[in-house]
Amino acid sequence: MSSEATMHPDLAHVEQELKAADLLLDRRPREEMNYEVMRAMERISLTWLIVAFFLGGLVFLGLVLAWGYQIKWGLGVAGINRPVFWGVYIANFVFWIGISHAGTLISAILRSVGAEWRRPITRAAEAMTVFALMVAGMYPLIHMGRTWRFYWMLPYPNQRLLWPNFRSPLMWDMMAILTYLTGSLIFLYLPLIPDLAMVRDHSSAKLRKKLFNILSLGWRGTEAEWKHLHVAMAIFTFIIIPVAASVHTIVSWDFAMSNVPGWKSTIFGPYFVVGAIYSGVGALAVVLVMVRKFMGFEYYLREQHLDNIGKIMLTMTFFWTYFWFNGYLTEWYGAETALDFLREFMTYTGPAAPLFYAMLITNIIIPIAILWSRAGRTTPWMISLAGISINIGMYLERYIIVPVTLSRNRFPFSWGHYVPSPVEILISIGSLSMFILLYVLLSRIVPLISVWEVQEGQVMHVIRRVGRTLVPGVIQWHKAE
Amino acid sequence: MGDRYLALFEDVEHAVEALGELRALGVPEEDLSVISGIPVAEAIMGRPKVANLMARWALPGALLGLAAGVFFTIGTPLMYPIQVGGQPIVSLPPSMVIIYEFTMLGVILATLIGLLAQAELPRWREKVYHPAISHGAIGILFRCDESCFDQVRERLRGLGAFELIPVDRSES
Amino acid sequence: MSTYNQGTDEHRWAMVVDIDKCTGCGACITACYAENNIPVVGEEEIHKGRHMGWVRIERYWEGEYPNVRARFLPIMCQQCGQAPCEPVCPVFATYHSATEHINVQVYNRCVGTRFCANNCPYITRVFNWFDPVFPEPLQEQLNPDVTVRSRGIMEKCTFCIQRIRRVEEDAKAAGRPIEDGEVQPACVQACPTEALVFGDLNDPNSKVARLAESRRAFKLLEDLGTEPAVIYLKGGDAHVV
Repeated sequence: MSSEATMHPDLAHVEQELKAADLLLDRRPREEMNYEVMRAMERISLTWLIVAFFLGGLVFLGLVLAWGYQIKWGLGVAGINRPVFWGVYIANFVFWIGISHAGTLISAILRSVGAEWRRPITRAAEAMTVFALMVAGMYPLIHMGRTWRFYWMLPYPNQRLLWPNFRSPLMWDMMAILTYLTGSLIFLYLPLIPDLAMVRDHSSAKLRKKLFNILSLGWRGTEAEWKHLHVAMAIFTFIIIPVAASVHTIVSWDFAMSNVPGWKSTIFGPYFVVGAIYSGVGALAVVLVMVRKFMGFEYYLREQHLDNIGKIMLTMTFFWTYFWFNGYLTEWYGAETALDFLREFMTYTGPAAPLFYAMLITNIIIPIAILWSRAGRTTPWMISLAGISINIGMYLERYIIVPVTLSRNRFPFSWGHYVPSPVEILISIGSLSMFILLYVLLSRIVPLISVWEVQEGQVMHVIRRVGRTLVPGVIQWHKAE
Repeated sequence: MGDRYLALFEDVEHAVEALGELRALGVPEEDLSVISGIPVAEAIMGRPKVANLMARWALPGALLGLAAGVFFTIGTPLMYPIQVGGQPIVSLPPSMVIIYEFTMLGVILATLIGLLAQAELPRWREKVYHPAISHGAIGILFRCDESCFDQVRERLRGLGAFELIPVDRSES
Repeated sequence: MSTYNQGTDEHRWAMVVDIDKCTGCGACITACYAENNIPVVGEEEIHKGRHMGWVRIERYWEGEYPNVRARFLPIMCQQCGQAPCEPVCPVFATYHSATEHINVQVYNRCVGTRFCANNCPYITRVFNWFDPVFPEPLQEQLNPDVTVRSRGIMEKCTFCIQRIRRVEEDAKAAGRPIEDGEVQPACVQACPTEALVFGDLNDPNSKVARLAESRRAFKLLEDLGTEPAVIYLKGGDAHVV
């Protein structure tokens, strides 16, 4: 160790750089962070109100008026027909389940491997999961012919002594989503408790104080509370990863367990999981950029986070491309007649070919072009563009899998053509608005940054002198035995 | 017996020292406890380990979920056999999915209940607290009688206790 | 087993479709509409692919001009022995009837997920996109033996199960076995060229059982292992049985 006297004059500069690069080294008093996060939460501007009302209007239009109209008149108001019995409702369902995989799954994976940079992003990611699942869970109901009989799928004793058919992939789906939604809600809630207590302690509004006292369960931060919270989170982290993987696998089994050419595929399970994470991470990047900009969280959400998310996105681009190509090539080689019909329809110069090529461009070329460079990953608008491109591409992929694949079958006489109807489009817009609205509302109800986790990270991170420079280090408090 | 007091410190090191002082004055370990805004391991504070028995909650939850899954996939078709697709009424492979999901749901719910039960939450009426704790302060809650408190007050102040509040005088 | 079903569990109802005899006249479709209370949806809906007929006649051209010939292929629910539509239904609205050995659809149990329709490789299931409309005085000719379906549920060919049941009951009341040819679904009854034959495959002397032995016999998409109960006969121009 060299003494202070021989310290390099640039060391102050080095320290500055280290702090700028890593939130966890750039320590600030907890009080300051608390108030900053709470101010962002309590500020309700005119713009916010206008946005919220606008989104609320779209939700009303799509999910009350359009859906109500469909329930009143029947599914004929949608564009589906024979043989395309499943349309955008199912494509949307798969899409939103996919989005839900960014939050909880990414957060759980990062927690389980101890990725310290995750600390400021987990809350925003986990909230995404819950809302995306709520939106996704609505779609089977919208899709059903008799929505008002949805409870016949629930296993409850009834006078007919009839239970649902647990052999049906749709039942698997319902149970998997129920499990995942329950798990994700609790996974979001548990680390939120100390922050709810923080709001209770320092909020000036009486009603908010009262509400947050109830929501925080009277949390104080005793040794027992922290200990059990920690263990519960550890269990959840490792439970939620296989549950999340199972959810999208089961969604893929809705297709793969069938007889439909183009659906009956053994690779669908992992392919869907990979695609879900892919679209989810893309959406997460967009959400983080929005939260950072509109809530003024530049201190918490930095280049380092966008950079890391961008790297995960790029990895997932390669994974997705690999899985997609793997499935495509085996079907090409198999030369099954019905699949040849389908390929003629959706590739080369077939009527659905523009969708196919657009999918490849938005899912492979654009993301790689943006994400290969650090500048692309860390520039907010560029990584958002990559995220949006991925989500367009992944939506097209689901669209191709559902209505496009159903348009072709083994009987050329019964081929069909599907165009979404205005009702379907309005409902889709309504559900997208619902997701954004829920997020916009949440941002004014709970702290979107997990302040205590950020502080815990900052306490654990130090800058130490080694030789002639300063290096960052971690003191692993949580491992103290 | 005696009254309970809450002393608040800015940082861990002083809080640890304060705990040492209190122990030296004969305050038994069970009359001490730490309240903090971030998790601080018991070893850092020199406190006895909090016993965690989460497995005792999670495991029965898993078994209960497993039983529910078996009931739904194997029990209900036996109670009312309906033949579909030439498949056997009872078969393990297609049942695994539901059994798996219910087992996981069991673990999830049991872990939540285990957390609430062990951490004794919710405790909406508990008043032994100070808002500075969620600003990052470390609180030491201790119990001692009046003569003891006279001795301890100055020493804790000396260690940087910026708040020293009597919590209650009635609890047994 | 209940008394009601006694003696009937041995039946394996089946249909033979001789496509060498089919002229594509469409009488079977019309008869089916009348018998089974199938709503007429109109040109616009049919153009969208939403016709409700339980039988369709696919027309294919064989050969090159001038030696060209139209082939007609009537397709209805194949009443599979291992039906892909059944296990995917979450509410058991469609299942295998152990007494008739056909694939039954319970209208009032259906919630309309349409998974069964996707999974039917023969595309024979139809969905009620809207509530059915029977303008005056058409409601007067509705068959009282068949449910009028509401919007949002699946339906499909039932082999005219109401007719099977009636013959079963009559035979049981008279204390005699069911004769071959006694059960006639509407389409079979209406077919002018007798291209459609219905009967019990488990009775070795029945007409369908004999026709099923024909060299011309085949099943649709047999390789899928669905074990259909509809047997097709096709022998090119050689009219042999």
